[in-house]
Amino acid sequence: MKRLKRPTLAGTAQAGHTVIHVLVVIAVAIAGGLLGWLTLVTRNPLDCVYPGAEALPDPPLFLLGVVSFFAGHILGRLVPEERTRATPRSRKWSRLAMVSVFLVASAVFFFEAVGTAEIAVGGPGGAKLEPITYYVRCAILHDKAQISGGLFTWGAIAITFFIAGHWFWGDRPVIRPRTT
Amino acid sequence: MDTYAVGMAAVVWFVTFIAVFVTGIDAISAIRHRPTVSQQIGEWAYRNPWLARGVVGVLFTLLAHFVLNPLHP
Repeated sequence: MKRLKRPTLAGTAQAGHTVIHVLVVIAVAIAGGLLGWLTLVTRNPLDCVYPGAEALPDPPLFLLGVVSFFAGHILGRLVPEERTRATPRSRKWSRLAMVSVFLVASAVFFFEAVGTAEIAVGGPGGAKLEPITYYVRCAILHDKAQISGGLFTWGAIAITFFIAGHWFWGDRPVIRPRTT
Repeated sequence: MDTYAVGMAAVVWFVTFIAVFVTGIDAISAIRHRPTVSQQIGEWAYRNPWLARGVVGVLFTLLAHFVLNPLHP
């Protein structure tokens, strides 16, 4: 008769991590798909002016970022990950990912430069591009006034800073690889 | 023709696609016991604490710029 392996703390933590990783993919896909659809079906903002909607500045949103940052770090300490060895193929993909990040960042900064220069897109008197800050703040206003009352804004800030705390506060413990 | 809604929805779905792609790689790596994106970045942050602090500083500066700025919008 086959003996069942006793669950260990390390094994349970690793399984918990795997479940969280899979749930994050599903949550991101649902949230992003729903937000895009809501953006399509809600009424367009007119120059980002919403009478009576004094949505920004909003200090609790900054506080939410701070709390989420600490929460991400604390999760990393409470549920340590098992350290695995990077293969040469994995390192190659890692370098490719970094190059992609810099390419996207370059495109973003190019757009920001054009937006800051206030270049007209449609000729004299036509529409012009704005700096990225304009679109981000407009999206927050639009979300608060017409889409979800700020729910998506809270979610985006919480997830971003939770991940930042989990990734960049790097003194979390790790579980050594299993030798069997 | 007003293309705001279509354009914004396209941007949202494009960003969602990137996020799903990255988190998908993370999940597959975790299932196959390969180093996850989280682990790779975590180890980089552990080896380069001042650079990691710089990244966090930039993130919080951007957040403050977006949500604490009294200008319209």
